[in-house]
Amino acid sequence: MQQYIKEQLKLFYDNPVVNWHEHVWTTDMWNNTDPGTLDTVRCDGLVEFANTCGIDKLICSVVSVNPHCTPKEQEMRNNATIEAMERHPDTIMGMAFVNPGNGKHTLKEVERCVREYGFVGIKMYHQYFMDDPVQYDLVEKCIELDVPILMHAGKLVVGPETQPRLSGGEHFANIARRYPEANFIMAHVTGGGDWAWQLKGVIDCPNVVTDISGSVSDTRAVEESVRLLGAERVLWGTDGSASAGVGKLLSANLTDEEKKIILAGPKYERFLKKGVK
Amino acid sequence: MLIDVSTYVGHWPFRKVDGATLNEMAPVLAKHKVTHAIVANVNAFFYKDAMEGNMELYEEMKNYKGEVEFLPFAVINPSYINWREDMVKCVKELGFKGFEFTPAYHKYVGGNVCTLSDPCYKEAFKLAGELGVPVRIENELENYRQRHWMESGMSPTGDQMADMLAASDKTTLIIGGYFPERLGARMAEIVKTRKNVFFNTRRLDPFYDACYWQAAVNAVGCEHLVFGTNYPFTHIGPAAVALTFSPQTEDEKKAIMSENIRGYLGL
Repeated sequence: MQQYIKEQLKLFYDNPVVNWHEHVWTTDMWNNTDPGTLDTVRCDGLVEFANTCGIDKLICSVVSVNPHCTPKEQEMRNNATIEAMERHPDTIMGMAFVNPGNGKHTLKEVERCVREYGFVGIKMYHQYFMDDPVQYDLVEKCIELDVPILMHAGKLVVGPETQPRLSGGEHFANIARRYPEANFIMAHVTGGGDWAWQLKGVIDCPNVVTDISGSVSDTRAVEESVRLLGAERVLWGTDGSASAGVGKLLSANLTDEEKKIILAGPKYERFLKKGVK
Repeated sequence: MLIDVSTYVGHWPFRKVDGATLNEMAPVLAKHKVTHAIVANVNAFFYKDAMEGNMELYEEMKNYKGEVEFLPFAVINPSYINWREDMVKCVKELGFKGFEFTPAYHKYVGGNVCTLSDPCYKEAFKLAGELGVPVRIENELENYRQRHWMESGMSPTGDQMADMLAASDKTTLIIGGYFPERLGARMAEIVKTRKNVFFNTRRLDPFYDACYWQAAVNAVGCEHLVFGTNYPFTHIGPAAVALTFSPQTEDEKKAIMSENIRGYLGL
């Protein structure tokens, strides 16, 4: 079996591989006042995983689960991402984590991260729904800068009260129709929750892609993502679930060509080129 | 030899699952170099009389001629009439190699919730040992965050497993879909004192982040780990990748793949 897996991994070793959904952590990750600096051990472990499995680029952010994440906190977290980018410049690229509730501070932070440090996009958690009007200025800023928006997402059947502003496919569809020129990544369709709900919600929104990161390795989930959205609208990622991320794609009932498209993410390739400093 | 301790046939009512028959599963398992697989019929989770599901699997086994050797486990509901007779018949007449308990789906005893702690499960567990076959329990055939609203959502706890294990030290237990280090002090103590309790590896990951693999090894030791995938609910790749890149020695990997459990399965 080990030999078989290593042979299958040639798909990763021999082709461009972009992990569009990963995170680096800080030394005091859950401290909202002072989350600390980059957790270098975890960061180096992430790069070691990338080297082991033939992953060329890790698109990383440091998120906050704090519903009231302040301008200062988001800046400190993005500084840790910058540290990771500087520590592993050939591998790690940044997504700027922002809370849209911080208004003009957030717009300024996106400017700082993208223009000064070459971040390739922005990342949001569940502080607000994706289609909340508070997002409009931020989405327009991302259109202006031509960077994609990666938003934590899911349709929880159990425990929806734990994430009351978790965006479902319907929230992405609403914002995508309002801003057809913006680029949205509906995060981790296989990150837990009803993946069929998520996919059905955005079928008709060509400016919404999804990523297949997360711990859920259901058969048919990746396959249905490709069937409903097309391989070009499916990005590869792990989001803290390395073996699941690699293994579910290797085992997916797809052609090698479809898998190569997912791994390379050609629809989003131009964002990576812009991000190189 | 590679033994997958966690596969299923049958119809899952809550989402579409392709290829859940022996003849369809075998080529996929074989492609991943699986040589033997423990299999149960999920239909027996939902039928009032679980034996009807077991008989379906028995008939399917008769017509199966694929390259993977399936080891059929019968699903037993020990709150249903004549379950003792069913257990004996399954092993002695029908050739089943073990049993699966699914209290999450068979939770009624006189209208009350039934768990592995209940006397009927303890008695059934003990009887399995007397018949010389193992028992399997699985947590979360689907991730809890996406459970259909008609699913019970009730998974056995570590303490309930410990209660059941106390009924017999002869019976082997194969536990799937849990992080072993999270099952509590009683289970931690049990694995120190008996060999025949195993945890499948399907949710363990050796790479960065929480290092679930290493935590499991530290908690229970390699000798209590066995390879399992939950196929066809879950792709085989994740468990295969995890084992391939785990920090264990080749001998330890071989033990996880087959040597730890094969004797308890009569292989």
